[in-house]
This record gives sequence, structure tokens and C-alpha cells, in this order.
Amino acid sequence: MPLFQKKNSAIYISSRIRLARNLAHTRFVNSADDNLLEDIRSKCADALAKVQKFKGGKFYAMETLESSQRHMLEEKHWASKELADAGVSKMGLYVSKDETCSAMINEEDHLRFQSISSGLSLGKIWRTINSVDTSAERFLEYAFSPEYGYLTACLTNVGTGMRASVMMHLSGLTHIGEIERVVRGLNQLGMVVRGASGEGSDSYGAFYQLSNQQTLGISEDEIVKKISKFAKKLAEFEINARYKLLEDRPLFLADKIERARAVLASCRLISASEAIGHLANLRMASDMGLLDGDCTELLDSLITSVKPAHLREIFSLPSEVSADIRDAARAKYLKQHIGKIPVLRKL
Amino acid sequence: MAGQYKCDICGKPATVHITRIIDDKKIKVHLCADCAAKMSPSAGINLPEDIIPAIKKLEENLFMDVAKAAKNSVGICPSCGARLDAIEKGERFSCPDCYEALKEKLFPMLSEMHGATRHVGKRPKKHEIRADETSLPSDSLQDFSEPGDKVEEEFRDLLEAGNIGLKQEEKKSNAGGNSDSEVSKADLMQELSRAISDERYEDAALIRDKLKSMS
Repeated sequence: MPLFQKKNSAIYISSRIRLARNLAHTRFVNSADDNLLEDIRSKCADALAKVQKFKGGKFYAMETLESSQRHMLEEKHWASKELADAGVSKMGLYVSKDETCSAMINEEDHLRFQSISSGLSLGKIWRTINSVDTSAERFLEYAFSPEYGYLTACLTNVGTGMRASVMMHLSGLTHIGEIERVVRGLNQLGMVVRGASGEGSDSYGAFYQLSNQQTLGISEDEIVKKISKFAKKLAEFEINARYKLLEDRPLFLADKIERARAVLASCRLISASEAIGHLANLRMASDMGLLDGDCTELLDSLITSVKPAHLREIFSLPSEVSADIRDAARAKYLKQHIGKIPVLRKL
Repeated sequence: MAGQYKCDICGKPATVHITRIIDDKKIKVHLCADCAAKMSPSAGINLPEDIIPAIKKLEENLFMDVAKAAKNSVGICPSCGARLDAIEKGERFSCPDCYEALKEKLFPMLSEMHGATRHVGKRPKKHEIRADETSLPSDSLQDFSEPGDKVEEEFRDLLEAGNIGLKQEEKKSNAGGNSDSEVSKADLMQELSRAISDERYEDAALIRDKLKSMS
């Protein structure tokens, strides 16, 4: 079987677009009192219930959920960390029935629409979210200025209110020590590169999110095109880095892969970040065609399962549980599944 | 220096200066000796009884006007009362009207943050643009963002595929003939950014034109 036979398609993990909207003539979330927040939430929820995409969907009043349920929504990328952490304020979340679209209510802005899809698919997502936004606009009057566009609580989002991002797996660039230079170069060109979970998050496992910084003076279509182009360019760099690793340091590469398998097969305690780091190395190997069979899908599912809220659900762990018990459960879970991952082919 | 103030009531040179705090703002009122004496209960001047409420009313109105003017000058959003200087320092906006209240200061903030000052994307239906409204003022610092291809070119220069393993210094020596123009363009971008933050908009417009002619 030739290496790279799948052309490293799994470098693009998922694409996401977020649109920030606020209600006209209404204080923004940061300066609204509880009564107003409640009013905003019910106005938005009522309007979304009439939008075709959200019909039959689920509405969550965040303060009614347990912390573990909120963090589960965060791990599924439906809720932001802020929304998941703050359980007492009047925040809400609407998730469409087909789980392709969500709307956070009273997060930083009154409304934040979000749509996620696997792979590099920003154009498709933009069509979905644009249609949802246009439908919602029939029932809600947005704060909009012809000069500045959609008005948002933070100046970084004004204009289109749009953040388009692609989550990418960049283990190759990380291992050859070029990731920092690539990130710096992208930053200089007005792109934002962050850890996989967004602002302030770590990049363990070499998962990075590439997104636009500029939201004003650029159209939504242009943002989609620009991010897609940069994502493709970044994927090319990642492929080159993987080839370089294979040619220049095959032993290093083999060690990373075998070490990952060995640790996951025999550890007794393991943190989420360490587990994801090793799983990511195996994922890169699978994507490069270095394993005796493709198991990218299984690895993706394991990467999700070892996150705290998912793990708690799998093992029915109580919400207050010691780190040792959680790390032991994670190790046990990985040991159960590691046998399904094909072995490394001879390099 | 007192001589430069005029009495806020009659316009004669003011010699009495009163300071009051209204809504956390220091408000000053300047009076001439006559008006001050008339307004002072301890001045020993016998004013007709009905004049006193009239003067009090006058004083009240005066303070109201001055306070209103002061509010506008220190920058408070008339809709929500948010301090605009705090927003300038990076705090979030409190309501949609803060944008209009901060309009004069927004230009450099937006230019620095987005490289543009005007929305060009989607609009709600009720704000849809008419065909005769599409042209923008020619002197507007509309959009400094590069077209996609140009940006991609720069990215390629910066991080050429296949040269990923090269050190920065090696890449510089490989950059070839267009490095001079790239450097001067970068310098111009920096100068543009400085001009905008110094609020030298005429200079900014000239630099903008130079940049346009280079692209």
C-alpha cells in the first residue's frame, strides 16, 4: 500500500462559522440586568422556534443544566467555554434537530449562530448559516449600522460578525519544529491561529484552529474564500512537513508512533492532554498510511471520548470525582480500544 | 487668570468661581461680584423676596445646561450612560448606540483593528442597499485588506512550501529581487498605521494612495 494514499484528507478535521448578532435598541449582554437578559432570551428563543432549521430542535436554559451536561455541550462544540462555565446567568442554547446548527443566547452577544461540518466545508456552512440568519431576521430586529454593519459588544466582531474557522491537525509541522514560525507568519497576514478549543485553549495533540481576524471591510464570501485558501496552503505545508519527517527522521517518527501505542496500552493513569497527544500521533500515522490499515475514524472517536465530560458519561462517574479516578478510567478505556488500532508498517 | 472668565449670568468679568460635583463631574460656574452678592444669602443685601426664587431657578438651569455640555464633552453614551473613554481603552460596548456616541474616535480604532472602517458585507433586508447608493466616498480609507491572491502570494513568500525546514536567514537570502519592494511596502504599512493612530488622516490618505499604486 503506498504511503499518503488518502492524500492526507484528515488534516482538515472540521469547519465552523459563527455569526454574532444583537437586538436593536437593546443593551448588550455585559450591561443588561437579569430581567432584560431573561427578556432577550425569551425573544430570541421564540424567534428561533419559528425558524425552519430549528424546528424540532432542543432549547437549553443553561442554568437548569448540571455542570457536566454543560461541559458535554462544550465538548461537542455547541457551547463556548464561557457558556458552559457560567451556569447561573440567563444564557440559552438552541441546537437544531439535525445537530448541524446552534445558537447561543446571551453569551458575549445576544445571539451567536454557529454551524459545524466535517472536513474543509466553509462554503457549504456559510450557505446554511446565512439562510438561518436571514430567516431569524424576519422575527428579530438586529442592531445594524449601514456604516459599521452588525453591531457587536466587542469591536473585534463588528461588521459581518463572522468568524470562519477550520480545525486542522498539524502534527508534522509541530514535530519538525516549524509550527511557531508558520503561526507567526499567518498572524502577520491577519489570520488567527489558536489551540483547538478556541481562545486561550491549549494546542495539545497539535490541533489548531485557523480563523479570520478581520470582520469589517470584508464580505462574508471573501472571508470564506480567504480562510479556505489559507487552510489549503497550510495543509500543503503540513504534508511537506510529514514527508520531511519521513525522509529525514524515520526513526523519530516510528518512535513517536510506537511510543504512543505503548503508553496507551499499558498506562494506569493518564490525563486528557497526554492521551490526546499520543492519539494525535497515531492519527497522523494512520492518515499518512503508515499503519497497517486506516483507523482515523476510530482515533477521532477516541479523542472525543477521553475528554472529561464524555468520559464521565461513559463510566457514569459522579460530577465531583478525583483526578486519579478519572485518569484511571481514561487509561482503562484506552487499553480496551488500543488493540483495534493497526500496527505500524515497516518504515 | 481669573480675568479671562465672564460672569455666567450677566457676562461681566467674573471674580467668583464656584465648583460643584454633578454626576461625578466637576462643574464650574463663574460670577461677577454683583451677581455673586445677589446670590449669597449672607451678603446682607436686601433683595425683594420674589427675586430669590427666580435667581435660584436661573442657577439651577445654568447648572443643568453646563452639566449637559460636560456630559457630552467627557464622552458618555446618551442612551446607556457608558463611559466612552473606557471603551476606547478596550472595554466592551454597552449598547448599539455607543457606536454612534463614539463615532469620532472609531475611525482610528477600526483602522487599526480591521484595516478598514466601513461594512461591505451582508445587510438585513430593511437596510438593503439601493443601486444608486453603492459608490463609496473616494477619500474613504475603505479597505486595506489584500485581495486573496495577493495575500496567498505573500504567504508563499513567507513560508514557501518545500522550504519549510530552512532557517529564516537562509530564506532571506533566497528571497530574490522583489524583497526591496516588499520591505518598502511593509514600511509604508507601518507608517500608515502610525499616521492613523496619530490621527493624521491626510498623511494616511497619501500613504494609502502610494500603497494602492504599488499593488
